[in-house]
Amino acid sequence: MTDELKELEETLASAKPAPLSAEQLARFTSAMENWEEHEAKPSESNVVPFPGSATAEKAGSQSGKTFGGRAVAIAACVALMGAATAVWVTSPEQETATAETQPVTTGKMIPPELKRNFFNVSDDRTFFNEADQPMRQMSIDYSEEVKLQDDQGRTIIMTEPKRQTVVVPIETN
Amino acid sequence: MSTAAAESNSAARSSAPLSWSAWLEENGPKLLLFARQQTRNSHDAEDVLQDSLVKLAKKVNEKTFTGGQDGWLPYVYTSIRRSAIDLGRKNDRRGKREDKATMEQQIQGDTVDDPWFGAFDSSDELGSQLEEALKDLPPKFAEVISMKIWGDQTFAQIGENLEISQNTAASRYRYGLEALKKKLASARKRGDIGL
Repeated sequence: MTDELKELEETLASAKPAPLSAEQLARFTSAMENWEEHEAKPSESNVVPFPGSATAEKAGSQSGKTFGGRAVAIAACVALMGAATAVWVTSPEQETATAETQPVTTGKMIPPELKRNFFNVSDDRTFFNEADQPMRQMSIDYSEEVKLQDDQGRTIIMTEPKRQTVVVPIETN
Repeated sequence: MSTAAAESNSAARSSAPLSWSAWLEENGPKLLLFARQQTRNSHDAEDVLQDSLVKLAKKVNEKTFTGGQDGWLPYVYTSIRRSAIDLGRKNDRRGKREDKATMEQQIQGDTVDDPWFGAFDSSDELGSQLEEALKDLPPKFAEVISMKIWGDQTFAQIGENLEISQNTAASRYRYGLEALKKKLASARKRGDIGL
């Protein structure tokens, strides 16, 4: 390195980065001391907890959402077993019952058909939960297709791709 | 690892929560400078730095940090760089929906409100001139200069952080200094700084 660059290097080294303000120092120190509160949490909104797990109990006690809870978890496991080839279409009786018990008052649309197409099941990973129970995480990719008919007889098809993640315990000896 | 080394590390870890403030006072300015170089504005820089500090604190408290306190600084440098890349990708997506003029105004405002350097021994002007020159440098040169001069990192550590060889790090440092010299030359001719 030339003498000129060495001189520049020394000049630069005499420059000190601006010190942290008292507010910055306090904030960063607080964040480090309370790192658990500031830690970025991964989204678990698409993970269906398995019944009996701490997550499932927590989800069940905290909210009455459709997802989470024993019934949905069992349904997810059942879906997992036959997901690779299953195509499920609602029965005409069910559709009629839905239309009769829950009449649509706006738009005069009646959902005549709901179709769910499963096209992929993947084994994502295995891991140990907090109770050292080995668990398997699997993902099911599928699409939901709803076919509607308006009062003028026009058919409207809506398709939505979806992914469901299921966590199931692995049986061990 | 020897028993003595393990005990030393253990002592550093157990005393860590009490020394965060002192460690930050010493190393925070150089880390924030690096974060500012890696991001678009001061707010992003502070977010990225805080995120990296929280990750360090988690590893130290969970006793999963490999090495002693000497390893904290290289770890945070690496973490800042990765977080800044992630944030940059998010901002790129969001930026398409934002008004470019607003962003430029924000960046210009940063220079006035949050100077990168404190007062120089030789000249108060040199800090702002240096800040502008560093912003104009290609990032691959500026980050090496920042880590080497103000972060006291070796070329080996810089190479590891940037995932380049230490020879490449040394080359970038030299080329960066030469580019910086040219950029500061015009200010010197104007008499703004006395290099």
